[in-house]
Amino acid sequence: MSSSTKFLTLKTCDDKKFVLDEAIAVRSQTIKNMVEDDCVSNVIPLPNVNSKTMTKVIEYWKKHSEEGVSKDVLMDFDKAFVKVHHSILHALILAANFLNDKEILDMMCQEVADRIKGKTPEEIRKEFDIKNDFTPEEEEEIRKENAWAFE
Amino acid sequence: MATEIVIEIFLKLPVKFLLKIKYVSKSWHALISSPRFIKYHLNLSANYNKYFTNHNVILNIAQPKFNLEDCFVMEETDLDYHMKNSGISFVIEGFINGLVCLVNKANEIFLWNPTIRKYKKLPNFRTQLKNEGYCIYGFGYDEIHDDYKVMCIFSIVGCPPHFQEVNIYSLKNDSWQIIHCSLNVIRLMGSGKFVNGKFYWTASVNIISGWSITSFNLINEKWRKVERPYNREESEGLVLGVLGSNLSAISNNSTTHVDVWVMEEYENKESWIKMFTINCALNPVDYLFSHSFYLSKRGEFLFMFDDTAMIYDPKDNLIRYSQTSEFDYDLLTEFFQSLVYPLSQNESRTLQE
Repeated sequence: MSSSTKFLTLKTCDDKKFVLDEAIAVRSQTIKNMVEDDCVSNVIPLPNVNSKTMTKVIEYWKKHSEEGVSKDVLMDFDKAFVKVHHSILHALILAANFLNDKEILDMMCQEVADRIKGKTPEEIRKEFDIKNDFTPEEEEEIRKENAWAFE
Repeated sequence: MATEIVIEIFLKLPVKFLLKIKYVSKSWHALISSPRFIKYHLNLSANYNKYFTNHNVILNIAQPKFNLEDCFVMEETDLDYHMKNSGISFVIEGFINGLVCLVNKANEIFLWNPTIRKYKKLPNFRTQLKNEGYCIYGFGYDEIHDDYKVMCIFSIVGCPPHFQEVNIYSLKNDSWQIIHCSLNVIRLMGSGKFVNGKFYWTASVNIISGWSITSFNLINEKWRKVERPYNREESEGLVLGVLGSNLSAISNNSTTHVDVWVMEEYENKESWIKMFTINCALNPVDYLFSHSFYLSKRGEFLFMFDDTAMIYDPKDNLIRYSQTSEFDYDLLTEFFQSLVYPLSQNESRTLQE
């Protein structure tokens, strides 16, 4: 690989283009694999990620690639980074999963876990948009079995 | 959301909460109950030591009227138990993967997961002989067969010839098997400490020869004499335990200090490394009959004997004593929370259907 800075162009699903230093973009294992397999032409399409989400991801990548940035600064950055509306949180998880960035995925999943901790199953169904497919009898039975967990 | 992401989120939640959200939907219920998820969760919990998210300590209260209700888990005192009102005292013989092996005075054996509050009473063996001798237990996990095993060494000592028989219970098959082995009749002490696929016991052929260490390999079912830690001379007392994932031992060769050792090399020749020396006057009788010690999250060494807990901080070399006046804490068990069901293969199948 040459020592000069190489740039990659990423194109999100809403047709926005992001020009990014290759060294930063390869934080995504998916992009890294493409670069290593030499299947990068001019533009890398990201069909599962929109521009709003990608802006957030790049913000994270750039901060975490800064030279000489202290642990405390990064910790504060991360803390602020995860404080987003749950729709953005879900979008970031899907993007991190597609880009195969374990660091962001892990952090976001932790945030979701922290947010649902202490919530009732009804509240969780609402947040995740899940339909309750148990019959009242089935629900009663499972509830009985684990009644102590609801104390 | 994709199942793999839901799993990632689930793995970051406490076990009790997972049981609660089981009935969000059928697919979540199936996912949390699936053997694959339980195993994945277990591996992660076991390796997640640095955060101790699902780690607890069980104190066993050795009162004559002790029952499981009185047995509490430090830092999670709201755990309540299904085995209430049993009225029989229990001894913790071992713990692994969130399961605890308990034996009561009637020699009945239980595998119990206090986190999900499920237990299984093991079938009896040799009922006709049980009252005439005594049993030494060990509880371990056979990784190759993905099976939990309880080992029971049944002995009749006294009038010769001595009789000793090794029985192994397999949870998968829900049955006992007598194994043939070349163990000469020796006296084993306490419950087997399970480390790296092997049980370890302190053992003595007779009182004069002092204590040595014997191991039993759960996979190839072979016994082996294990090098014991030495100071300048062979110490008198030796108590085995598990610190972190290592076999450890405490020994004293004087009445003024106690050495704490860990074993680092397991294959071929064992090597013991002295972790620290605690300057304390300890009656050998006190600690030979205590069989529990533990390293706390903060790096403090806890050691229980009689009604006293000795807490030693290696950082400043200070010793604190904590008198537990109300109860007689006998055993201290470190364990982590898991979703593992103590069920045989047939029982699991029935449950899945």
